Amino acid sequence: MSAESIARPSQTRRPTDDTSRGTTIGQRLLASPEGYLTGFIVLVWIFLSIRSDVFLTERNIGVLLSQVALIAITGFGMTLLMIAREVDLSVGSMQAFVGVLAMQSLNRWPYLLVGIAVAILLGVIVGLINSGLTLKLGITSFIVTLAMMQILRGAAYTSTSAAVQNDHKLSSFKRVFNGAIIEDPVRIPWPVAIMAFFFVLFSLIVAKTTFGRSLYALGSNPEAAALSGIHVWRLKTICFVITSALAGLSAFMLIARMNSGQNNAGFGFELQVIGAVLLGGASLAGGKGTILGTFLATLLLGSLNNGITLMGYNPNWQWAVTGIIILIAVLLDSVRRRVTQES
Amino acid sequence: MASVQYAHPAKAPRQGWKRYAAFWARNEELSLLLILAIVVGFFLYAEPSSRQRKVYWDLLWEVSPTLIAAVGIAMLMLAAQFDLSIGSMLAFTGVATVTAMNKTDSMWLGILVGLATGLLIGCLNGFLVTYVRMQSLMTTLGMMFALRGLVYTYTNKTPVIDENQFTQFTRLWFGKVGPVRTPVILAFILIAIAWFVLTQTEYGRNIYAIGGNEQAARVSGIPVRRILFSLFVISSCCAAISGLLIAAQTDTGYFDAGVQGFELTVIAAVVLGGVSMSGGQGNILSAALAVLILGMIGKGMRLMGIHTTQQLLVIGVVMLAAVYFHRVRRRWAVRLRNEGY
Repeated sequence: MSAESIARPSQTRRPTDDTSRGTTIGQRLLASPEGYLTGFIVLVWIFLSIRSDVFLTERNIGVLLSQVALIAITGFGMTLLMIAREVDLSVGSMQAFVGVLAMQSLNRWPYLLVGIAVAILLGVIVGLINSGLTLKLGITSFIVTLAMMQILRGAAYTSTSAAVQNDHKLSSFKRVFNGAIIEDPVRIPWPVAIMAFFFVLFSLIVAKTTFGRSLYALGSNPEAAALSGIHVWRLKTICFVITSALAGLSAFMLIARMNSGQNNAGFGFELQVIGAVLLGGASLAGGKGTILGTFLATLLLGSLNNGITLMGYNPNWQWAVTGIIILIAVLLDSVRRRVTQES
Repeated sequence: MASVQYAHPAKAPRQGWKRYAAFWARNEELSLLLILAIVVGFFLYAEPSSRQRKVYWDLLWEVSPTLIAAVGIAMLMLAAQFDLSIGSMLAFTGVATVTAMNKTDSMWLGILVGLATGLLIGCLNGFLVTYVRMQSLMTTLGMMFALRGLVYTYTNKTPVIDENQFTQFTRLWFGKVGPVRTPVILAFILIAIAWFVLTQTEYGRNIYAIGGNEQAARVSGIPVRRILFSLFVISSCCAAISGLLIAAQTDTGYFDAGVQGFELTVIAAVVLGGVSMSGGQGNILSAALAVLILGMIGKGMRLMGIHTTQQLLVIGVVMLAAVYFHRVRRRWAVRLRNEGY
């Protein structure tokens, strides 16, 4: 077998292949997380568009997708990381830390690009520290990033005692979240455009490149991957850096949305992101997960939250519904595994 | 006199600093005690107000809810399972207890309801993980959101105040036996029981066996499901007791109790205590010592006037250092054993 044939994607088994061999539609839907998540989303959207006139309007879908973007963008990075069997719990505190520092630097140097550069640069630095501590000291990433979560939260509280207000009054600043990249024929808000860009980019990277396939190999069997010549720590470092940089980017969109950098932003954000990634078919044991699955999971959770607000229910139900959806997804996952084991 | 040549280093006479290094490297509890002593020593030196006996009684008092929750989590993590729902359990139990007290006008019924929530959620977690075979981390993550959501929805984000103002109930937190507060006694009793169960009984040995290799444990006839189920109940009940204590502290059921990452703090403390994330390694006394070390650092900094929110920064760094210390210590233990010490 030549090296070329190994590298061709059509000849390597895609990670979902072994579970997607059902025959009936029901079996197909059950066979992959993407399947049943799509089913769920269709049901929720049909229900909401019947019950609410506002739901299927261009404006509401724009708002819904913008909110989804905040979680999904970080979620894409987290998917890569979790495929490689690592996890980053510090993304929630990143929202506060990066938000506060980006707002402060915007107040000092009022150029939009400065803010974005600071946000992404801080993300890269935190990612490098996370990966350095995880890979060089050999502490599990769960603990390293848990510590980093507290360090960054503490740093955010130390650098400002209250929210950092918008003193620069840049007109372009609020447009980062509220503005649109195009207005005709449909209005596409900036966060949605950014999310779409990263969705396409990372889907291609994961499915079509050697990097993506090495990630799956690394996650499903690290020792075998290392023995077969995969640069374990280089790959993992890239994943850590991507995750943190994307978290920095969503932090920047968050301060644009709130128009202030708040030191208590993003409490529980990390668990929402990880929950969505796991719901999308990833596993803490690594080697599983797709970008599409993560996107569908965040879209499902976002649609439910949007629906709860639209229907005028108590907005606190959002928490409970998120929990119940995660439970249902894990249940389906365990059923799926049992069915595939038996067949 | 000609010196004797030893064929194998293991037969060499044991002497020098390595003997002492090996002793400390092997004794987890002792090395953690040493860290605790260093931390206490530092604050004694740097902060005059820490030179009172009261500070240390208060420390034990403050960390007792964390200690109690850590007992349950440590036992669960020894069997390689997780429970992320304990933070939400604090709020759930507190709100359920105070609501039941208001509805029935009876303190004991309220406490009973509070403890029953632990039993109920524990059974639910245990059932889902062991019988439906769902992954514990995800299941309890879902449970964490679900419970918090139920609490938020039910209370509408307002604290539930005890209308009868039972002073008996607040005694659960403020009561004293001699110089020792009730929660501290409760925590120590639970730690003692857990220590006894883990080290002296077959059940305890089975927990380690499951954590070490679940497949092997199942094959060798250990009732894995039943034991895991019971561990989830234990962990939820421990969290419920912590929730009761926290509710007694202010005589209210607070909807945001434990929302600032209580579950992650407890897991971090247990891991600092040398309990392995993949199960099968560690012991309860080290976990308790680690809780005390983290508590002491927090308390000392508060005495020095550092705000609680800013302390997070230091605690994060200390956590990293302590986990790294464990790694180095284990490596030294293995290396020195190979050298024959």
